[in-house]
Amino acid sequence: MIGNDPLLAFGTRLLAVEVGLAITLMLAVVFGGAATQWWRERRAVQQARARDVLSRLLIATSPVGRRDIATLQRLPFPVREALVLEFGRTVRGESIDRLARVASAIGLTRRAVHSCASRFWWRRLAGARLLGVLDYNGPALRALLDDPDPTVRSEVLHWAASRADSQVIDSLVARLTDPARLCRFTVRDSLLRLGHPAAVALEKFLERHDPSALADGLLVARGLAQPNLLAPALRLSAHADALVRARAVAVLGTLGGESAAAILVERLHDDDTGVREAAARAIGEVAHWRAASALAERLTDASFPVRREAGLALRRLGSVGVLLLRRARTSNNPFAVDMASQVLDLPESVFHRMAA
Amino acid sequence: MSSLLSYLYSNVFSQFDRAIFAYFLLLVVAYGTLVAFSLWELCLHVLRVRGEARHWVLGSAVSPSISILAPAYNEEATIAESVTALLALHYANLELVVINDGSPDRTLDVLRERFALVPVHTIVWRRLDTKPVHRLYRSTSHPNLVVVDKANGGKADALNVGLNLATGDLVCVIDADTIVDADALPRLARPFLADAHTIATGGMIRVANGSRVGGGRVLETAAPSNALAGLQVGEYLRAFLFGRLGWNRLGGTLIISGAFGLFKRESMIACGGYTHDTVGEDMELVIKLRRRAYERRERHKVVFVPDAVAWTEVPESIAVLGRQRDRWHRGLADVLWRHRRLIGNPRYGAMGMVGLPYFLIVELLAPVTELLGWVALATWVLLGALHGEAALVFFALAYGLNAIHGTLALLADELSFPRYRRTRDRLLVIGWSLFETFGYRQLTVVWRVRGLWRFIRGRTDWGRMERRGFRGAVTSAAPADVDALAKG
Repeated sequence: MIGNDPLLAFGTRLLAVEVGLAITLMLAVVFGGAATQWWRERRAVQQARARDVLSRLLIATSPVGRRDIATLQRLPFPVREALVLEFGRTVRGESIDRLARVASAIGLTRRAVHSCASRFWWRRLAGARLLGVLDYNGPALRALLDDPDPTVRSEVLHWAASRADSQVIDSLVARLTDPARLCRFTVRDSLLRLGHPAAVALEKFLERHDPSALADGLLVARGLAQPNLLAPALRLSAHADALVRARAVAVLGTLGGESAAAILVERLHDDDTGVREAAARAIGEVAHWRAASALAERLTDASFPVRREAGLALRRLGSVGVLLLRRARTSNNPFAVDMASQVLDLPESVFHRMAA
Repeated sequence: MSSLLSYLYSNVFSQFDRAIFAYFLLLVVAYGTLVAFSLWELCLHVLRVRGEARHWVLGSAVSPSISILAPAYNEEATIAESVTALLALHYANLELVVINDGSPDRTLDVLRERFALVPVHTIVWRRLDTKPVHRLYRSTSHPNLVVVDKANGGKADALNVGLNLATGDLVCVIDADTIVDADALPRLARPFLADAHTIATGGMIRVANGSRVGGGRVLETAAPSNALAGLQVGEYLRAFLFGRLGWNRLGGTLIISGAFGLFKRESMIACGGYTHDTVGEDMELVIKLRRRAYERRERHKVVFVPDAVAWTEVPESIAVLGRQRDRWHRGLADVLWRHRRLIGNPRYGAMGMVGLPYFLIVELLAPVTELLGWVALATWVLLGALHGEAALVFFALAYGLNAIHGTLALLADELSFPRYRRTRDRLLVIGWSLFETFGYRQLTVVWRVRGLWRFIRGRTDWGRMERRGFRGAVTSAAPADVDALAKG
């Protein structure tokens, strides 16, 4: 019989342990939750007071007062850290300098620098986040540009966008080939935010021959739209890789010019649908009205996205394009009829969004 | 008599009880492993997102564009509020595609009036085969809103129409009555930025019953006072925090809730979109996506994100809840049956060797084994082959583990991304999770076994769902009978 089994005694003991564990966990949820809540509320009150002090410090023209620093220093470290992160993301200019001075005075900067050298990635991340918002310009952050953890690296790459010195820019551009996608995303974003200063380094980068790196670089080039990027874009519009060609054509759409227009019309007949689509869009962007009839031909393209972009581009060209769209609506080709009808039906606000 | 009993015990019952006990141990090990991996993953996630600034992702010109697909059927009472809330989500490059799946009520009229819709010439790039599209509308007041009116074909068909129309790099699939947290999209999109191989991410679904809802947002969270809804709070927490998060470490989850998930649009289309003739279309899609990636030897990731939250209204009536659980289990059985060749197949990596066997043995068969266990225990006690106290200890052990599992989920939630602010709510949730063991769990076992039985008998309908709505109005939703579709 199972009931007489010594297993029963073992089961009963196990049950006692289980009940004990369950009760402990429940108490932890209730009391731990209540304690956490109490701590959060207390922290919110402290934060509100500290926020007043910090706001006063940031807008004052007088030197930072010792009493205020002492008030901030009395706060627990996480409260100080959260506060500085909050302010650091909303203030700029002189206020950031003052915030950095305050952070240094209350011991946050030293601790963050120390964290940046930690062997634990989460400490390095926290340190990099704090120093990043304080616009810190020391070696502790630069060293993390080669951090093995992509999240830490990405945080530092984001900070780098505020530093327009050539060394950082070169390092950023080189990171367009970073193995981590998050870092490549951050680099693209940072380069776009840097704007003009990044264009020269990017031009050099576009001399490389790795298609995926070129495609990433051209994505940034399109956003930057600097004249020095026209030559590489013209050259790459004939690249063997279809994605590179499509992105180069998209860059031409933002830069324009007679030389670009001729190539765009040529690319309307590319073998790759992505390139034809980008070319149609680019012609609309540069408003090259002489290409209107070539665009109208693309309304019968076998690819739906190409037909759509051709239709939108025609409408973007203004009266000439609209005239061709109206003609297409009465043509014998059902593809052209459908696309022209839909594009002409689009409300103005929708059209602008789609063509943007 | 006693000799017959001892013959039965030594030749039949002892083997049977060993099998049940072995299964019980297997469950303990499986759940224990998932809990351990989930807690580890949760710790890492909290450390990674603490102090993170999402505004630069939101405002970046290189962030991926997202199309939200919201299928609607008989949603006239809530559709305007839901669409307004979705349009106000914190994401810069957002498109919203609302698919009216042939609603016989005024859903379309409400949309037309509220969002100044104008019809445009209806052409759709038919990359996926769907029921006919009647009309396409664009909004003059909200340029990123697309509304499509189509013949009723069920949720999967509606989503496929949405996929044909969507232009975003990523596609977010939600139910029209799901309330999405304002900052949930950038959180859900994060894994796509972090890893090029991410093909899908799923968010956390929480129970909205009892919370204060307004303007399409959860304004104040509170534990439900309704018993049935309350019992589901702990169940959802457990299912998402432990049932999905741990899979991030174990080769990727197999389920992304149809109520809130984000997918790579091209991957979805390449695998043929949603399957029509199944009631488990969300799990089926994830398996199809992963199956295709394995067959093409492509690296891929399916990630669960615990801090991307959407809220749903759970059933408050036993009949509706029973139909829902029955359908979920039928869906699971159907999906496992369709992809049976993948189970234990090393060609499909972690999915074939770990994920699918787990879903077969632990998720699909658990209710059957539990039911058999009750029957066996009752029989043994009645026949005197087992002392009542032994049966009680065994039951208490099994359900005690369940209680620990549930409470651990509450604790993990409380320490990571807590939503309940008041002690009253925490007490309520714990109370409900304790009562879950007595009666509710047994009911769900019966519903799930019924679902399995109905699957074996070939039943594939959704069953009528009733929702009270966040304002208290009762609406009903019964998308097209999948049976009819399969035959048609």
